[in-house]
Amino acid sequence: MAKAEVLPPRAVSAVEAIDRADIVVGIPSFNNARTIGHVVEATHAGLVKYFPQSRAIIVNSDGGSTDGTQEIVTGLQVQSSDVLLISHPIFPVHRLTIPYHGLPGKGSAFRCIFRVAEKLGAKACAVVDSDLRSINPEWVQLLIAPLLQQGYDYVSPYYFRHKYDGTITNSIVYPLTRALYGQRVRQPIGGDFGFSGRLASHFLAQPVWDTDVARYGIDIWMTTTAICGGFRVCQSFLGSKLHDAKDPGADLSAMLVQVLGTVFSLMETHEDVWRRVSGSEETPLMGFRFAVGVEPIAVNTQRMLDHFRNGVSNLRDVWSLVLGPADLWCLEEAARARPEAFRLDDGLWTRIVYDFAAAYHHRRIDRQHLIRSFLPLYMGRVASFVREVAESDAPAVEERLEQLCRVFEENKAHLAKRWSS
Amino acid sequence: MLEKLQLVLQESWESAAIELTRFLPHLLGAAVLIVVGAGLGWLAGRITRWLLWRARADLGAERLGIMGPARRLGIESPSAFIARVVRWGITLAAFVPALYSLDARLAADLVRRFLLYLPHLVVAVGLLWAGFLVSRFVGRSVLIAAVNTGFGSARLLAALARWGIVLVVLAVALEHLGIGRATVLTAFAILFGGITLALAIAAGFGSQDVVRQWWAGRLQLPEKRDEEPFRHW
Repeated sequence: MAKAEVLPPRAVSAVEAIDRADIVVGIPSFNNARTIGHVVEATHAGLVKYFPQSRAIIVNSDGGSTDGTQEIVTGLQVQSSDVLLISHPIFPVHRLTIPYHGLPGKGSAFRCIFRVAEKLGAKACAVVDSDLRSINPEWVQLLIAPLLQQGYDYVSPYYFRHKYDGTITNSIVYPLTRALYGQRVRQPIGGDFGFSGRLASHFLAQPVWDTDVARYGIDIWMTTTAICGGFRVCQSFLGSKLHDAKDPGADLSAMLVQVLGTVFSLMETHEDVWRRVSGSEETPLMGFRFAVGVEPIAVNTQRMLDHFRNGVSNLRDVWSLVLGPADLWCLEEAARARPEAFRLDDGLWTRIVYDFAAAYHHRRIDRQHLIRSFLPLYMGRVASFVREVAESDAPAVEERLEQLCRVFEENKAHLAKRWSS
Repeated sequence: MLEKLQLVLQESWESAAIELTRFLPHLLGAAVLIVVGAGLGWLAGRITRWLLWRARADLGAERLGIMGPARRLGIESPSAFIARVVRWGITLAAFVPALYSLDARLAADLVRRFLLYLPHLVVAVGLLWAGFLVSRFVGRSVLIAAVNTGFGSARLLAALARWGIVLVVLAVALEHLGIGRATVLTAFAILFGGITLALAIAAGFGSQDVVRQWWAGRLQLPEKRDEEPFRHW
């Protein structure tokens, strides 16, 4: 039976009219009229400046925006500047905006972009977020050049972030992915990636588009699939990552469920890989690393501590199905500690993450319940981390995270044992 | 006089002996049927237990998450429980022909009443079981959601949700079984009517200011939630 076409008919005609492209840059969007113009301009400038000999297309995969996002993308007049460019482009940079179908979320948007890349026979592709304020033309070069010039298949971003930013990445996803699959990809859910046309076809062929991958899980899924699929992976330093002001309606609980659910689900898919991997190795880093000044952030750790303590007093029965009695006792002790002495140490945190992964695998309780009950523990860990690194600078924080990663790697036997029992 | 007494006693004894002679075979037949039924029940129970063990039914039940509620009902091993149900079901079923052997009319009447009531019993048991599972799931959902939204009395809210569902299901099951129908329905209506009224009054009193503000500033946007100033992802 022939596979159903991912793209709507109008988009198929538009893509066929373009016929061929060397580079595809995708921008998923939903009501990003305020920022997408800047992203498209930076992307366009990057393509004409760094890849003037290549046929390129910018694809906006939109989730049904009602604020004029699509109109901005198609109507934007981008001026080529003699000051900016050394040589002028041979081919115009095409621009296409496509409404995506399927489950609402970034994954479905990416699927459209993968399909466009496949139809156009693109050699290199990149995707960037539509709410970026810090994107510049050099990002395009840093995400695409390793694919075209050095034969890599996957380029993961490397940002300079505030020490408190990306706590899901720092506390869970990075150390866990590193310990499981042996690659030190610092920002596995960064959001801006480069990938080869070959890898785009591989992504498209996977049967994941009716799962949580189609919502928020696409980033970690791409990174994990690239690593476990034996593709050549590198990172590119992009500087700081600044988004548009945070959406106050964004639900952390829902985000955690989808990201963590995808990570745990991928552990089931790639069990044979993580069981045989031991330790980890550096992932090559492209680009010139530099420090970026960041504004100080005041964090309300008391609220996080209250959430953690509320969890300890009310969710003990649920956690007892997942964690060992000794670890439960440690959590109760931590909940009784004074705020200035509060700490969830690395060993305890590692065992908690691994035990939840094993419980997810064994379906000891409903999976949604399991991951949502993880949230108070995560808040406790963030509070502990914030308190620990309050006086630390960026290199000291990185060293602290390196310690955490080593504990994850050293405790992998605990995961293997719990997974099999 | 003595001769008459002797005649009466002899006739009574003979009648009793004749009745006993007529009844004993039926009684023996009933006893044999019960013994055979018990034996068959025991054998069927052992076979069922072995088949479920081979199919790893206990592990499957653990994976489906039904062992928690089962343990609370005193069922440690689903395969052992099902085997016991099969055994005693066949044993009890053997009483039916045994009753027929003793008194066909009485047996037929009892069997008819039981068979007419059986579907109600099965539905009621199924309702209670399903209701118990749903109440447990909903209770846990409410508990976790309440903790994550910072609600102080999360356990109380979860217990209310859980026992609310249990009460509803219990009322429906009892109504289905025809046990105290009018009493159960009336009690249920009073209880839930009272709860609904109390909640409505509490919501009305508690949201006076909110409603007043809404009317006064209809175009104002809701306040932003207090959140961390950094991105979690």
